[in-house]
Amino acid sequence: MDAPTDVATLLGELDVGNDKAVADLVVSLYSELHRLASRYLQRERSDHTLQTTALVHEAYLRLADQREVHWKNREQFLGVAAQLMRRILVDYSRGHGAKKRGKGFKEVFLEEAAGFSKGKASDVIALDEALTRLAEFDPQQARLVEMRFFGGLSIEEAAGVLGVSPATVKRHWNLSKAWLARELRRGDQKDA
Amino acid sequence: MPEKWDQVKELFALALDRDPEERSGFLREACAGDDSLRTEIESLLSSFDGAPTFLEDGPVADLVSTQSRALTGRRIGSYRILREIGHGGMAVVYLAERADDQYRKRVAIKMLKPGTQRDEILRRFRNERQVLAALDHPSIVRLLDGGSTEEGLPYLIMEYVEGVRIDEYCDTHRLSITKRLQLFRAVCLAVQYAHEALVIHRDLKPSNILITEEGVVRLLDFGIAKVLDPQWSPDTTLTRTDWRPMTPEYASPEQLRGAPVTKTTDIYSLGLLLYELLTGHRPHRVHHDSALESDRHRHNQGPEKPSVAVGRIAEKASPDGSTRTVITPQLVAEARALRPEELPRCLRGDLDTIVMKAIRTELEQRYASAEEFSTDIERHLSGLPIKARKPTLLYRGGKFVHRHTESLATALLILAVTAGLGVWAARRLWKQKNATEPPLSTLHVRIRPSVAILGFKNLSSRSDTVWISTALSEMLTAELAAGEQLRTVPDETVARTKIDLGLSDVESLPPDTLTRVRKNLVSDFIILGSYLDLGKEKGGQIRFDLRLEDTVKGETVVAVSETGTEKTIIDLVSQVGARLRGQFGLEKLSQIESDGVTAELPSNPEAIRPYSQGLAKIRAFDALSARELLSRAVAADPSFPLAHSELARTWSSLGYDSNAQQEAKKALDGAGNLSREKHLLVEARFYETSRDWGKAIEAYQTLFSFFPDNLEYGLQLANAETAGGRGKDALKSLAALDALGVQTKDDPRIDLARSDAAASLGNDKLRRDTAELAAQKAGERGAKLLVAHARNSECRALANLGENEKARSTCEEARRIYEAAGDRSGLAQTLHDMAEVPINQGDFAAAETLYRQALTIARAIGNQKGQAKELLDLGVISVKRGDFTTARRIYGEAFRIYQKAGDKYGMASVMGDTGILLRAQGKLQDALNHFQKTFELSNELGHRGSAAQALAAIGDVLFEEGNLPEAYKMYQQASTIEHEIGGKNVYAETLTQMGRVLRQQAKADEAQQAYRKSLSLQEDLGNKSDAAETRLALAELDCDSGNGTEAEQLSRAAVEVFRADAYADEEIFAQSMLSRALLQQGKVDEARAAIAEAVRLSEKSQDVTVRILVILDHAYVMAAAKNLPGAETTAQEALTRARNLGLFRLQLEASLALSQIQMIGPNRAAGRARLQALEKSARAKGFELIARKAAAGHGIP
Repeated sequence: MDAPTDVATLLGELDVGNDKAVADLVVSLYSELHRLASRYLQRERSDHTLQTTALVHEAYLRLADQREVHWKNREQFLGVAAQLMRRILVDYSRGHGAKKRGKGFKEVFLEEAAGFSKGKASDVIALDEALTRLAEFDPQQARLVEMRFFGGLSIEEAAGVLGVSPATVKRHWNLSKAWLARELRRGDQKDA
Repeated sequence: MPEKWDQVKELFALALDRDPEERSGFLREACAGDDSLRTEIESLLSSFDGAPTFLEDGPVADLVSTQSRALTGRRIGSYRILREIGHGGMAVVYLAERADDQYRKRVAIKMLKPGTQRDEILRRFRNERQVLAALDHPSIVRLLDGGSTEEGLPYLIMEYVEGVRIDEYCDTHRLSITKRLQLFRAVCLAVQYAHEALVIHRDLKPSNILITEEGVVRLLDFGIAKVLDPQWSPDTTLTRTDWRPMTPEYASPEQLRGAPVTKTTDIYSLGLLLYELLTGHRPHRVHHDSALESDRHRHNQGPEKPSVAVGRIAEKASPDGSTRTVITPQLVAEARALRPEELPRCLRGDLDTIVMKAIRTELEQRYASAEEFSTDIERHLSGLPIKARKPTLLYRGGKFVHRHTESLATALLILAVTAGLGVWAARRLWKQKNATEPPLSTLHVRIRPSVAILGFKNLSSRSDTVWISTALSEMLTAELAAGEQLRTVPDETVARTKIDLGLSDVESLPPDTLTRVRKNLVSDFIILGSYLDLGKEKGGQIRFDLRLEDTVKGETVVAVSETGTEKTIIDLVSQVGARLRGQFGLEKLSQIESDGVTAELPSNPEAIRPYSQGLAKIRAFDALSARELLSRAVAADPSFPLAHSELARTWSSLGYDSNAQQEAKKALDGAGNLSREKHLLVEARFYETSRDWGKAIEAYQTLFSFFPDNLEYGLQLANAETAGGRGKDALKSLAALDALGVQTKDDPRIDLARSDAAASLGNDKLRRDTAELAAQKAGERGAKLLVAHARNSECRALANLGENEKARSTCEEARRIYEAAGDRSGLAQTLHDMAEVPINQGDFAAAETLYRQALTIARAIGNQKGQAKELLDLGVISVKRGDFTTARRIYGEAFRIYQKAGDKYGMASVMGDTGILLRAQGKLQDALNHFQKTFELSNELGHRGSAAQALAAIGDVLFEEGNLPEAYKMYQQASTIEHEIGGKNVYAETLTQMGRVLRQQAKADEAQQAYRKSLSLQEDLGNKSDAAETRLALAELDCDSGNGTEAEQLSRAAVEVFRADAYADEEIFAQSMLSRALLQQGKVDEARAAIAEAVRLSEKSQDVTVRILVILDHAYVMAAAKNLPGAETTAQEALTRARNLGLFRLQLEASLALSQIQMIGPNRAAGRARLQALEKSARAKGFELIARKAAAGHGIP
């Protein structure tokens, strides 16, 4: 996957208008996070487990770091953050720069990122693909999942960003979860 | 079922609201016969019930949840959190109030966001707490407390200030330029106060400076940035661009570069603040491409002057980022109660100059202190000429020396003019002058009068009271150093000098000795005297006489006598100290200062005796006894930080890193009450023992920036830089020391430190020359131990340069001195260095004897790491002899010692050496693992040089495995690092290695360029064997292009060098290459002789690569001699060996040889098929040269 294209898509979705500064920032953050991730990769060439959790945390903190100074508003920040997080996680789950020897990056990644493998383990790529399918007929729900799951937003915050009531968000969230869980289970069955 | 999605949405939600048992009835009804809709919703409902926690915990959930929502209402200590009042990248700030208080005291709590550095931050916070809590200034917001929550999140509790950001305050109140300047001066004064307390803010910006309703300035977060510094990371050195300072817009160029932060960093930030207050704009528009780029940007163009900047029209975000406004000259002027045309006029001249001086990129051209900055503004306000001048040509050239001479000249001039008044009066006058008027020079180094305490003669015949001399000296030094008005020469330096000059404790000194003492110690005054302990029978009475001598005039300034008892020795010293201070015209000690002095002494007399005795033992090179005594001192007074610190150094010199670290930690933990200077020193030593060189360097840099007249700190800074693999920086620091002043210029220690730095850079010529200079200077002043140390370094350099005889005699000189002085650890070092000579000459037995002797000494003096070091070299000798089994055993032993001692650097070295051994055995994967460990350890230590070498070694393995692009990348990274740190020899080596890759890729021209560049460097460095290796590489290129004559010459020269230096494997390689060159010219008989020699030598070699290469070349020679069956079998053998070991590169070479041989014999068909297959597999892996040779399709010529 070609990074610049990704960012371009991301920015397209972003509705940044003429705000060049934010666009520049996203590009530079994206490549910075890539560098960071490959640094983790490099450091963990042999038997050590990959510190994915640390990577994700650092990525988030870096994003958060920019909040005070550059973002037009909190909503804009949260939106970009969620999308960037999704992008990065998916990229690396796809085995971007997977290790040459031994365990693939993806395997380690999934083991480590305990956060979303609680209960029924799902994998980021399948989730990403399912989300893309969901977005085809209900973009708002897909965006909600992105913000809740990848961006860590609460129901109330998501409601603020989407401009709907928390109750509505809650309802949509339940349905999205149900739909996605089913999609992923189906995918598993197909694979097996 | 996307097509009925809206219905699904609605019904799903409604169904979910019902009890589970009602759902199916509800759905049947609601779906009204649409079965597919009903099934869909039921399926979704069951999916929902089956995955209750699905997606609830996102990867960042715990990060976000710890922010505002979770903490409101919680109790932290005795405070309850009311609400969030701000957040930054690292922390969230809450308003809280005291839960149990009637008047509801409000505080601000800064809570760290969870991250990976929690423990480190907590540790740093504990270290800083006392210093920060001691900052007591009306304009500095107090740090009240700190700790960590149940979840382990660190927090800081600070005074809560209600106020407005300074920039907003100025604008909303439409403050005039004058009012703004006055407000700014108040900020400067607060910063100055903190700087005097040795606290640097590091993150000064408008949002950290509040103005209260009463118009009082309050500075937030002083010193907090150090605690929260995101720079911390185990491998910062390699990934400097991966972090950013907390606020890039207000960061100084040195912060962006990742260079150490000093008080001038705050001056820079103050300059930016003033710029913004005056103009409404920031001087630089920071681009976020990379921190370094904005740094470069500043370098190249430089910011606009304030008077120009006010003409800008620019968009600016409000502080909270919610709105953007356009700033026009009109608006800016209005906010300053001026008309647009008035403002530039008001700023032009003085204010432009003042601001631009503060924000210079070059540290030394900024104001030296906040006070100086503020004074210049005051002068401007009162219409006096300002002191900041426009940079002249002299400055632009960065000519450090000139500036220093200027400031010294000024000082000397004042002294000369007032000579009639006597030195004392002159000094006082100078001091007063300084107080009212900043010095003329922009860079002013305050040269304080210096005093050395030479020790006291024991007048009684009782030898059990000898410790009293040490104790008196230590305590008196602390008394006199307090208040930082005098520079005291460390007692340890005095002790070394006394050994050097052969001085014992005496009551007085003849004038010529006095002069020598003055020269060696760089002290204006010395104190010496005697004591008489009358013993128990006389009630433990001590009589104490001392004299203060002026070494410049050679006369006694004052003589003091006091009588007391052993028990009251501390009081006795403080009485004497007070009298001497009076004599020096120093103020009485403040409470804080006198607390500092107390903290430098043990709290009970039982600890004083073993502590002083321990110190004396250290100085007499008896670390084992010192450890014993200091352990006793520590037991008698566990809260005395300096005993811990000295014990740490003793452990360290005995080679026990982990024990040393523990003690250093205890020292640091108890250092809170020490004077700032001692505190920093203890801190620096802690980092030193932890081998956290980055922090150690920073600490010494700070010390040196606060005490620029203290040569010791400058030297320690340089040593830390060298130890941390930053030899280039060390050389720079030392150059600055040279310029410090006439009296330090001739100090041999500077040259010695330079030679150590050169050694770390692999620059043996510089090392030799500087060591020689150091030895010469040290000899002139009779500093014998320094001579020995310098000779050691020189000897090693000479040996590396192949000047064996001179090396031997130089080492012999060092050996004699150490033996005479009883310095066994020095002696061990000499023996160790001396062994290089026989190694060069191939006399491994002699080298082994020397290493064994050194090993015996190391065991005797209990030096763990010393033992490991000798073992390591004994292992290397075994490798050279081809005895890999012994080598591995010895390496194992060395590794265990390093591990036990907690010496990661040692561990990394053994790992690397073991890797080399494994690679030679053809165990590529094992070797790779070892090199990776080496790399990780080096990174952890921040040792860039050894990290680079590990990368290069990884490259070698990848090269043999046939992974050319990755190998090249590794070499490239290694060479970049080496280039940055100035490690020329390794840099050259990696160039050669890169050339090898390029050659395989059929980029002969580029390969040749790389080789040539490498060769010229190696020749400059006088590195004969490295140069010979590069010559061989060139010979190989010549063979490729059919230039056999040239290749022959190069190979023959290489053979000579390797033979002379007893480089067995390299000589085999050279002989083998020679045979190839000869074959090319059709000299078959000579080729046979050369390869026969190679085969003979290779029988002893354990390096599989070398052996396979020889077999290969042997096959070619056989073929040329028309022994085709023999040639084919031999080539086949090489191929099998290479394949079995997974040596892909050699496999290709062997395959090429085999097929080329087959092409001229009966197996032509097999040969052709092999060539075709070879072409494909070589090309697939990028081995273009071999692919082309295969494609050419012919047999050997």
